[in-house]
Amino acid sequence: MLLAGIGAAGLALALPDARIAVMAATVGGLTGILVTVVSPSTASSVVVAVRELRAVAVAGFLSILAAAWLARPLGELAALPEVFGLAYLGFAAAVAIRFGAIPFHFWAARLADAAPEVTLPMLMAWGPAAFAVVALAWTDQSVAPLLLPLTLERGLVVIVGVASILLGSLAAWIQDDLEHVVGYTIVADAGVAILGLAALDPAAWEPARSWILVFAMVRSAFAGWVVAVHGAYGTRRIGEIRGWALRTPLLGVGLVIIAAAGIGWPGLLAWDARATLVNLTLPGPIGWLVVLGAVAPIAIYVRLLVIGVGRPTDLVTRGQSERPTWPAPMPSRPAHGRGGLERAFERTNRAIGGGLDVLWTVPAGVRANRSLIAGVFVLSLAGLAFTVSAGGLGVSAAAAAVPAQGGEQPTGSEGPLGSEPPSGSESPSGSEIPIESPSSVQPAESPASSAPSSESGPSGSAPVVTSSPRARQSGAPSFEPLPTF
Amino acid sequence: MNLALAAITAVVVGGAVVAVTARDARATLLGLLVVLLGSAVLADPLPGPLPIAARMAAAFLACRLIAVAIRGVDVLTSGSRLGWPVDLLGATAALLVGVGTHGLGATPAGPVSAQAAGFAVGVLAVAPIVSGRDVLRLGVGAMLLLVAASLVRVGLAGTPSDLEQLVESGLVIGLGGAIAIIVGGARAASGDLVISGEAIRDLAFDGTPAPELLRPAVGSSIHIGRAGRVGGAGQASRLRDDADSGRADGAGQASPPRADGAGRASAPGADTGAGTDDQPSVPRIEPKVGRPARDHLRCGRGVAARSAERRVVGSRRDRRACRGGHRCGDDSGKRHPRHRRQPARRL
Repeated sequence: MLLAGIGAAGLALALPDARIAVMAATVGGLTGILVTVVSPSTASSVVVAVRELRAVAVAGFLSILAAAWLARPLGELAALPEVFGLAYLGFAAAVAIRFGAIPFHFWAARLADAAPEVTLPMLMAWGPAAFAVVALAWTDQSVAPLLLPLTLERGLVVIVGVASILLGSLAAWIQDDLEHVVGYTIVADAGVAILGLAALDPAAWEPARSWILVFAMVRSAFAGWVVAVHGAYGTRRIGEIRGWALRTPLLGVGLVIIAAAGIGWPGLLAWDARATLVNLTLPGPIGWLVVLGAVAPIAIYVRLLVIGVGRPTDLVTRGQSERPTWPAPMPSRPAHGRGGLERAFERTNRAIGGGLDVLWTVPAGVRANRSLIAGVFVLSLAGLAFTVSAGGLGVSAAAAAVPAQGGEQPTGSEGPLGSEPPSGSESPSGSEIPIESPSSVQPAESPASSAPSSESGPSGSAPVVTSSPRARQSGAPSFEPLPTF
Repeated sequence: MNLALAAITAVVVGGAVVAVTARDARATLLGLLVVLLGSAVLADPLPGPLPIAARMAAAFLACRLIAVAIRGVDVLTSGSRLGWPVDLLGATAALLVGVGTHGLGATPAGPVSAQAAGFAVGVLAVAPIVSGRDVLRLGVGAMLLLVAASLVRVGLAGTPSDLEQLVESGLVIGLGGAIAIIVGGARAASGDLVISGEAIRDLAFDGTPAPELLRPAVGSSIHIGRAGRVGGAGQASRLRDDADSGRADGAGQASPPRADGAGRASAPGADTGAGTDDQPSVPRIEPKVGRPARDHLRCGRGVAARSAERRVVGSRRDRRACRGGHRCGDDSGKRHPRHRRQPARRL
């Protein structure tokens, strides 16, 4: 089921048409329901699954409508700029619902209890992340180039993002269950991703995608850490794992690395991407307050570490440690043979038996050292998360790349700017650009104040309607960074 | 308007009305199948034969998966509280709105029938999504919602490409599978399709994890009874069943005190079932506190037995038993609980 979800997310990212991509992303969200209701089926898990189904269906409905609404020549809609705002708001709401952002978090709040721990990153981070990337691409292609102010709509999206950041961090801080902490930290990080939708600025292209990659990787590592702790001590209650870091120091080191990857510092990709997105949407002191709120999860990690170095509880004392052990070998029997042949036979028998003992002991050895193995695995995950957070593995270049326009375009799939890129010498209000009213005004003006019935382009004014990178491409696909405007 | 498309639109809307208002789960499924099949051909120009075949195959597979989940016994859904005439009128109004707003402000690339059908189906899907606690109705509502979105998409942007048809087929199948899983899980957990208020209240506050999420529910919170009185009536009904079982098997257990909410069943002997002590009209079992709720008699809903002993009991016998013996815990006895109006409970 997880593979199906990953496959659907990959398909959604590969499809150039947003209308098809959102359907694929919705299919990926449905796999989470299958995971939630696996046996044993309880009434509460059914309730959680029903809520999840409702959320996925509503998000899919909004996104399909929004993508279909703007995926055709829309010259006549120049008189109704509110339509673009509605479509944009619908798609942003769909992303917020899929992420479980506040106030759409009710379906996600109990998912941590019903779904297995290892599936949480897929259900709450990776799947919605693919959906968010599709939304970002659609916004850049269909809404951002229109240069509409969309003040009210963007304000609403910013409010949802900020609420998720602040309240999600607060909720994660007050939780006593580690899985709930993971869930709410995902919600808080998703708020930053939602701010990327509100930016409507080419400068937000790279940071938004970088942040989505970073937070999905960091939260996956955090979830892995929780699974390791649960496996070692049999509990997820924070109060019951006091002294865990003394018993399993590798997990302690892993948590420190995860905290560093999730919070970062100035100069690190994670920090810069988060700060850029907040500053693009909330300039001024309010933005810095939100940035502080976004790094507030450091208090959660500190709390866990402080508890980890406390006096171990009985549960921790009885739990598995990371000290390497090996099962005691089978005792060897004394030789009883008297003759040479008899002794030789016994020695051969003993050698074969010894080899078989080793084979049987290896699985037992693995079981005895599973805490150590889990610690090493968490350490590697944390290292990978930190590498991504620092911009390694080509994350920055991948985030800045522009998807190639390839494949067959469905009927009427031209964006608002048409399928041909505008040239610098031509008027941008040529026939290939259906939307003409925004091209005759400056970006700061409301499109309502322009002349919607104007058929001619600007006289002597520089073309204001900017085309998305995809609209500029013609011929062979190529990846190039987003140009500045 | 193309007459053929208009006819298909009427069929699709009719199927959606049946899917939302029918009480029989199989009729609901049939209506859903009609909607899925009709939406596959509601486009102008018509899609190619392969995409149509894929969509139809997906429709059949999705409905088959749901049918597997609801098979076995007669399963009734909660149906529409407003009744099918109201839903039909609402769908008709939405259909007219869809016709009048074709294109939504710009030149449409698809037929008006598709958008109109999408509006109608979308309006019908709202009620199950928002206020349903019946998992089958919820699932059908989710399916109809996505079908409505795809129909409006066809009306706005024209016939989908082959790839989009294929992905949409996958979406239909995935959704059908998810609904089947949920319905199967609900029946396994409670023996019924309705989620009780107790299970929802357990999840109302995100505090400590609900214990029953970590282990199978033994004394299940899912309980029979009317939606508006799940908590009190459910407990009272359970207590009454326990009292009945105590009297039936001569265990000599002291009858537990009756809850106030269901105290209208006055005499202790009045609710011993339709029959007398020697010949009850329904098989008597001994539900105890802690046993799964599926052993409880579901009175008034017409849901047949969930346990082996009750498979022979059909819906009519349940109603006879209810009328005769007030086993539902309602002293009116003049109107079958099935026909009483229930306050809507939101999930």
